[in-house]
Amino acid sequence: MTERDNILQQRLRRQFESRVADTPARDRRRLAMARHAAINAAAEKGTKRLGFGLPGFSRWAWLPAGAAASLLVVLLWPGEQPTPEAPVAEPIADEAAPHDLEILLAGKDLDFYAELEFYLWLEEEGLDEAETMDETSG
Amino acid sequence: MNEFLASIEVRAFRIAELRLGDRDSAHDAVQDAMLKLVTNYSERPESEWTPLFYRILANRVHDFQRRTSLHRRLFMDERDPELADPVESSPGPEADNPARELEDEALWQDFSGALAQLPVRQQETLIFRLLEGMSVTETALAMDCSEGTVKTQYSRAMERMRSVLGSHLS
Repeated sequence: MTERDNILQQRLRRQFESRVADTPARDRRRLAMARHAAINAAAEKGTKRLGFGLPGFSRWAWLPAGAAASLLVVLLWPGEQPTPEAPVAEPIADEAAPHDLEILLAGKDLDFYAELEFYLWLEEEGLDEAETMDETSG
Repeated sequence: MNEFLASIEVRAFRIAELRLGDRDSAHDAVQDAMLKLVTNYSERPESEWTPLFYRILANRVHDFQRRTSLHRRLFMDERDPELADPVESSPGPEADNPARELEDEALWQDFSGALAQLPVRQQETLIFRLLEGMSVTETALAMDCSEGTVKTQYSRAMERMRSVLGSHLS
């Protein structure tokens, strides 16, 4: 830095400071209004962030609380209750009743099946009778 | 923050005006910079406010320059007529040395013209270091670059100013 540089810098600084000092009042007023507008806008924005202007209480402070609340709602939400499954109508199993396919394949007279109950009763009685005869003869 | 802005707003306005050559644009740039600083950086340490503010302002000035450069090229240099008003810029009757004041005024006009011809980075180093008196570290923070870059840019800018403004020093 030469002496000429120093002189140049001093003169330029002096000119700049002179211009700052001579800034018209209308510009100063406009700057002050802009400053207040900026401060107020930032304050409003801070309120909207739900930080309420408290130091260190930014919008991020709400994040854990919000997450916890959401989780609680999900857990407690009644929603659609799991409905017990409707009982499936089990086919009534009748061991004695012949199935349709067996009837068709047997090739017997259909009258036999019409009297099936009677034959079943007769078979039962016959067995009992044979057992009784065995007991008496033995 | 309010006090800080009050202490810096007039200087910032004059710097923006110097670079933009337009009073209204300078007001807009300063207002935008204020809003952004208050909104985004008020929780930063106060020692960083000055370089941060000037970085924001420099970006806004750059935006304005890009926006108006085409207009200027097409319609010539339409600087705010008040800036070049010889009555407003002439030394007042209270000036101690009118001749010297006039010479300094001529120096300032030539400086303004030469500044506008410099690359943006050199303009910024001159304004921050020369006019605002910021340190190399503060200037590097304001320009978002290394201190080495600040020194290099400032050296080149001063070299240019010496050649342009040398006649004022003889």
